[in-house]
Amino acid sequence: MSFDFFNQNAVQPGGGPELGPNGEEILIDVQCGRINVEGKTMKPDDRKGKLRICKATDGLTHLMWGTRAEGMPYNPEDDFIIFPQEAEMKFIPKPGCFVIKFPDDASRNMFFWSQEPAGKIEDDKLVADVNAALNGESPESANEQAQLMQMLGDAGGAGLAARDPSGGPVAARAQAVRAAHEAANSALSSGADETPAVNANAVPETPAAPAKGPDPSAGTAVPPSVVNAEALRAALGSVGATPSSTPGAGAIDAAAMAAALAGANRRAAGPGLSDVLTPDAVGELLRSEDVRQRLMEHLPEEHRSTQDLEELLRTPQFQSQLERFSHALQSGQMDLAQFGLSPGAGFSVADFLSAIQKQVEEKEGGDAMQE
Amino acid sequence: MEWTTIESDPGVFTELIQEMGVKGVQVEELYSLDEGSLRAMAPVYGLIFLFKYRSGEAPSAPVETDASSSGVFFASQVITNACATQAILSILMNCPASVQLGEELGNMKAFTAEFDADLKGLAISNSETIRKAHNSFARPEPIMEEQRDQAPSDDVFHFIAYMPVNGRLYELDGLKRGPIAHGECTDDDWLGKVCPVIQSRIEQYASSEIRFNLMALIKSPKQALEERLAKIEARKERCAKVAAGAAVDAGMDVDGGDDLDGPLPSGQDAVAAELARLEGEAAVAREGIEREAQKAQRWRDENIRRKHNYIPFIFNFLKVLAEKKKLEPLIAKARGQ
Repeated sequence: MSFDFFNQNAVQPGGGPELGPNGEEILIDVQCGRINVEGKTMKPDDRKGKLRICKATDGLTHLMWGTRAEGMPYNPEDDFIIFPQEAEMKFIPKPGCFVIKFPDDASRNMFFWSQEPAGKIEDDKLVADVNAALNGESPESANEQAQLMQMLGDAGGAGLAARDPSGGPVAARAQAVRAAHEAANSALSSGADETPAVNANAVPETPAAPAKGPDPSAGTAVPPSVVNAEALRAALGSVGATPSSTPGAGAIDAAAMAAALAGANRRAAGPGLSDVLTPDAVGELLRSEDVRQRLMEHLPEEHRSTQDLEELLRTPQFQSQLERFSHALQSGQMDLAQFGLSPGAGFSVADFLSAIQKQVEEKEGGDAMQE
Repeated sequence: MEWTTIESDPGVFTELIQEMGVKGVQVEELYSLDEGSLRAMAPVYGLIFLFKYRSGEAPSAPVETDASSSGVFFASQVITNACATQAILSILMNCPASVQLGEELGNMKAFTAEFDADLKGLAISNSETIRKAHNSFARPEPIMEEQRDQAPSDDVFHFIAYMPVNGRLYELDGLKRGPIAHGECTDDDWLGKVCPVIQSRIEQYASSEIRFNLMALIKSPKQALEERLAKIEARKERCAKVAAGAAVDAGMDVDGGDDLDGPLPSGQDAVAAELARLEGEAAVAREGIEREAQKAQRWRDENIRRKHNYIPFIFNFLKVLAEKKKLEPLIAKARGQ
């Protein structure tokens, strides 16, 4: 899978997975540089480097990054063990940049800027291949598996969906990647015209203009592109650089970037519903016969005549739904239209309760006027 | 075709098994790993060990790549979210013939008998019945599927089954190439032999804080107790006949090995004593049946709640609070005042 022209690694006779210096199976190599997050800003590291995801002989998946240089062995500076479904790769809004994201621990997020020649590998394929590798699978076998399952019909959809740790359709994420990329014009490709063609027979000429669509020769060894550091600085707008003439460039606010990445992971402040609807606060009301009559139709049929409402509040199943309700609400993922509420000022529980209060008052006002 | 994650709970798994058409099998959670506790639940068809998954561990014993040669039904796990269902099926498909699998699983077992592990796994993932039963335990979500992030409590658990098949103790892990044999055993001594095997696996994780649980697939205690009660009643009847002076069919006096088999005692006093003993046993059995019935009802209620969408309930409750002017203090509370 590696396109590194200066590859020092062993290739097994007769084919098979590519092995690294310690016998590890190389799942994928991606040429890229680091971006370091310092406080609120992101500072790119100019050095040429390579991200490697490999499977060690003990079976654990490793994520490494290190510099690459002609004639030198690859010596990673960073080496992390990654468990399946622990991390995910995504492109971020800045052109050519991506993150290895850890949903369970944002402090582990790692940012990179791509040093792969433009158009060499389609973004969607890169995301899919890196994510397969992060789960300990070689991209080829992940592809084969997908094909096998498609052949057998229904299972194909289930398998692909199942590999998506968030449980949602893979299609939605691929779409997000496409959208992010459409918005960008790769700053790195502007440096492509400086790349020398090493061997005109074996290697395609790197186009001067940014390539559109997949490179049909992907899979052939391509020499590493010379990175246009100027273009990179312009794109990322690191602190301390001379003011760039590229419109729109400026210091990136890492917090804003993280927020954009996290998207729905951002949570509104304040207590959850189960903190507000405590047995102390609402127990008496739940015991009232009048309230019970009003709410009976919303209970499961089998429980309508028997369920004690105060007891219901204390059950793990109800508490779990309250929690998920709060999570959906506070992360902005709740469909408020189902309650006849329009998306309001905020997503906190207090905002939600206020919106309901208002809705009831308006209705009562309306009723009063009709009398 | 999606498979959703489901809760790892014995009540969920028991109902799941029933919905797949199986009769007389129950899942119980184990809180200690010792032969005594396991024997108390006998007959035990298999054990399920669940833990947080680490990729690519080396198998602990040689992996058999040709499962069918040892008579083991082994299916590769194809669907990530169906770990638990897969482990349960790997036990059910290897159970003795006395376990009633029902039509769907019985057909699946026969149909896939000659398939290799991967095809077996795919056949399972293609089963509409199994998928529907599994997904029926999906928790109602208040949000759009595409927008859903990994919810805070989603863990990546993996499930491994242990059971005796054809005189060997097997570890059945759908993510490995084949079943792993842990030596010979009998249906009787496997419970003792499996404890150290699982114990050593637990010790592998002792240094890292890995959560794990243990569950057992057992013969439904209620069914076993009802069978026992019937036997007690039958023996009581015979005792009563003897006490009344009638002759008893000698053919029935067979020593089957439990306290209800064997010849009736002779002499009126002995028979009376036996009747009293049997009354006591009947009472114990009835108590057990009642306890199991209550547990089943509790599990039933929990599953009804799990599957019910309480959002309309919550929303309407909040509206009622607003109408009764009781919402304001809660809003203040939510603002931290």
